[in-house]
Amino acid sequence: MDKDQKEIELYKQAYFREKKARKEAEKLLENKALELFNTNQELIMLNEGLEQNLERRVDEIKAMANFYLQNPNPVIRINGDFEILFRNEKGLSILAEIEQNRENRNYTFFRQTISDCLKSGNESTLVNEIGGHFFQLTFIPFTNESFVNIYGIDISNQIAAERARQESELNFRDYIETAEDIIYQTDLTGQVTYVNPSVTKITGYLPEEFISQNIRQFISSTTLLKAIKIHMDQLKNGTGSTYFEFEFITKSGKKRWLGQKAKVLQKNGRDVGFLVFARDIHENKILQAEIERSEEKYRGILENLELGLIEVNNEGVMTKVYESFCKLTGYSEKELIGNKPEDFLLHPESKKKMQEVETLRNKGVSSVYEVQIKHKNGNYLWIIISGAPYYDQEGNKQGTIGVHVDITERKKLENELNEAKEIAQASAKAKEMFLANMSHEIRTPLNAVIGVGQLLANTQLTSQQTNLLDKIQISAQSLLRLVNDILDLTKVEKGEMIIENKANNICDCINELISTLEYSALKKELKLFSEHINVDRDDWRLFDRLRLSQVLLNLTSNAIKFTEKGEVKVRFGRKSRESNVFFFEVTDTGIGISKKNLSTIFNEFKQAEDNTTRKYGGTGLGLSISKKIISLLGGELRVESELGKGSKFWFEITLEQTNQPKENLISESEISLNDFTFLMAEDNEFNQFVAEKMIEESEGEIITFGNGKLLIDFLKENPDTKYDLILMDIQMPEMNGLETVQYLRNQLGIEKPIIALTANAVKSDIDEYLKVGMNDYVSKPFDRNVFKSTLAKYLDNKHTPPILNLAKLEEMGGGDIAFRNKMLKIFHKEGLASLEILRSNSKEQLKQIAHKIKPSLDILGNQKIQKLTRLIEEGNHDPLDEYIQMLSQLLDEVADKLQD
Amino acid sequence: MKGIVFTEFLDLVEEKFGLETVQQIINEVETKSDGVYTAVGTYDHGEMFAMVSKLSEISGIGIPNLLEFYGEHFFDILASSYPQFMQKKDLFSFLETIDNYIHPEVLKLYPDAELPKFKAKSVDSTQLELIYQSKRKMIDFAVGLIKGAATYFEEKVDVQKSKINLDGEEVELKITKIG
Repeated sequence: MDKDQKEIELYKQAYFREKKARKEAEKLLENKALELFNTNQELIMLNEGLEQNLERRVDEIKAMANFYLQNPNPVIRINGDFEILFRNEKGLSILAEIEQNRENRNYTFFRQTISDCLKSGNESTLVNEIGGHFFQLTFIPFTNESFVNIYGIDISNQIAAERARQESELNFRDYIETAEDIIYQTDLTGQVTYVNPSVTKITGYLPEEFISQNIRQFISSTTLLKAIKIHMDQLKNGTGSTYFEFEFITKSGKKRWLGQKAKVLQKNGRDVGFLVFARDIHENKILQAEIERSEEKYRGILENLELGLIEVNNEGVMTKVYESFCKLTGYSEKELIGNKPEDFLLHPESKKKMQEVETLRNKGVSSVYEVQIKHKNGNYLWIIISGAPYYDQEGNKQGTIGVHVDITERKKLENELNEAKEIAQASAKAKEMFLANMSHEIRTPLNAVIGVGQLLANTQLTSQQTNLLDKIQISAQSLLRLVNDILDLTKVEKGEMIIENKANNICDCINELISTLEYSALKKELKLFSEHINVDRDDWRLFDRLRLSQVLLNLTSNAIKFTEKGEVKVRFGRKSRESNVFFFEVTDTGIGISKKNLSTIFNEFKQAEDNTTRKYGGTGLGLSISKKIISLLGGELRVESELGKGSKFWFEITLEQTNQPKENLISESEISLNDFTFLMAEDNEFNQFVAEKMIEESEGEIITFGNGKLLIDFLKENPDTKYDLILMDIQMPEMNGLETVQYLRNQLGIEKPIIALTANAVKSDIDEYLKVGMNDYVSKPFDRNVFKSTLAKYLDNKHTPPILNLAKLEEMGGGDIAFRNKMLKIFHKEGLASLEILRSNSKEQLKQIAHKIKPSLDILGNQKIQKLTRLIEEGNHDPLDEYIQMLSQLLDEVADKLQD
Repeated sequence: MKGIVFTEFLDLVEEKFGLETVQQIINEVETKSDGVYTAVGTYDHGEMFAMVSKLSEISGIGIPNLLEFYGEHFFDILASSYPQFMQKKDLFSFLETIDNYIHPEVLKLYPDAELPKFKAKSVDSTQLELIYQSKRKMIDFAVGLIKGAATYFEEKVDVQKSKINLDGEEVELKITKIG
């Protein structure tokens, strides 16, 4: 074989080998591919299963997770590095709480427990207070996985309950240990098995001295047998609880009353002993004995007293009669018991009263009442009964206990006294009425005396006649004051005093007071003056000038009366210019009042000393009236005085500020009734006379009618009569004042002013006068000033008043012409000198002159010249010429008067 | 044994000794497969030993030398066929990955493969101890492979068999870097 052929052969063999190998490989690969396909199929299937499985597992896990997450108790998984692997909501809050309070030992405990569990592989349980709750935490370690499952339960409630139970057990023990009562237990034989500490306080025995002893040895022999019997019976009869009082022999050997309540103790349905509460009733027992003794004592006393005692049941039947009651009524006990008192004992008239009382008593009211009862002998007795219901222990009324006292004698006396009192009261009232009526009756004629006296003074009289007239006037005035005082007092007491607050000037009021009393003071050579504090000359206030003046006049004239030497000062004003409270003080340097009499000087008909009246005169009514008036004005009249050193009377009243009224107060001196015509209805001739005179004096004309009817008839017949004002009396025959006015106003349509002339100026009457259409009123007896100024108020006054005004001076002099003339002469002389200076135009002296002449002009001059004087005094020279002219005219008129 | 070991062996014999030697070995060695091998198949490793013994007989070169030589050559084949296992940058770290990474991966592809164990224990940066364990007792083939790997990583190493136990089933190697 050649080399090439050999080579070809080799390649051939290699080629077949390779071909065979390729086929083998292809087969292997095909198998492998098939295998792969199958495997892939399997994988796909497996995957599907896996997915389903996975989903199911996921759901399971989710459910499981929710199961834990929603667990209200904490569930936590934590590994050895304290990393939280799982926790539910509650677990998180607990972990946060522990984490936040690292300083708390909980934090350390918690970690320590986790570490310990993992180390030992043992479960562990902890109770921790976390965030105010108690948790029981169970730690279950999984050492392989190196984590711990922690399951917690909130056991706060259990713990609270446990604590409460422990506390209540403690409290209960505490109650027993601190109880006031002795609490002890015995076995059936009386052997003590337990006692609380109170035993020491009450009996002196220590508990250990008491326990194991038999209770019998502590019970006094007097009560022992009874004690044994009671408790034996209790066991025998199965009585649950008994109460028994006995004498306990204390450690010191003394006996002490205890009241004990014993209960049978049972165990498994068998009696085993007693539980006993024993109370110290020693004091009560003693007290009770005391009460019983005292009851016994009073029963004895009652029995021996002359008090008729009976007991009556709810039906009114006598159930118990005491000997005293038998004695009182004359019946025996046998005759009384079982009967009703009203059937035969009571006076028919008293039965009704008895029934009323019975109703009251059923309501539980005790009462005392008087009835008449019939004695067995037929005589009626007056009895005073004191009845009180009595009750049983449950509070049910059992009946009445009646105590009867014979008051027949007393009743007789009482009746006599009552009669006497009634007679006395009636007589006092009659006297009072008589006095008031008398005063009233006296006033009318007195008015006549004074009025006529005044008119008489204006006629030509000899000095002797003047002197006599003077005395008449003084007496009449003082009598009038007395009568007025009495009437005032009656008015105040009946609440009929009218307070009329009008705009008035305080300074005017005081000035008037001073000038009124100037003469009286002058006569006694006393200095009378006023002081004002924080009051302006033009301070106008609302007050009743009449009443205030009345009081001040009373106080000041008293001061003058009781002062022989020195001064009388009227001080008034207020503490500050802002205040409306004014004080008025009248101070004198007179005889004073002793301490003893200070308290009574304001009483009616009282003067400081009994002999005062003899020495100084007066009614003793002035201060009493003054005090009452000031009280009506809202103040209190007070006094300070020392015997021999003088007195001070003062009061404070509130005076509201007001404006000066537009109409000028018309002073009587300036009133002229010239050219005015008045109609008057008045039945009393004297009053007619006085009123007529007063009007004619002022140059007015008056037509008088005897009653209202005559006036009406006249006006009907002469409707054109010219007149300006009607004066109307109230009490008149035929037709009285009220009827007349109503007729005039309503039937005749008369609109002219009508002024009432009244003797009873009480408020209710005045109101009625005004209601029927009258404009004003004037009180009788007529005061010249009041009369004229009241009239003038309703007249259209167009007349210039005269410059010279003698009225005031005459009043001061009380009608003493000599005095008047003397004063006029002095004034004339001074006036001429002043006039000369005024005319000399020496201006620096003007003020001085005006100041000096002012007091005289306040008395003699009219308002205009007084006003001008003040202007000059204040440094105003404008009206100087007019002033000189007026003064000159005044002096001329004075000279004329003096020549007369 | 994997078919690739056979196919590569015969290719190498053909290349170094000629087709005639290949034919001679196939002819003279009684094998079940009659010299037909495919890389994807699996064959009795006894056939390999028989063929290597025959080549030694024909060429007069010792079996260990032949196996070591073939190992060195075979590494190149493996490295180019399986580049995914050649991520490491140096020999020692590569050797350490055999047991931990490469062989477990091979087993995934060829579950029937019978692979030796290489327990690596580094002494220091220049020396590595490697314990070879295999019932096949093919330490020389393994040494060739290691040397081939050193060449691949461009490193020079000295490989010493420091201990041979169990008739070559377990051999301790000391691998030392040179230079």
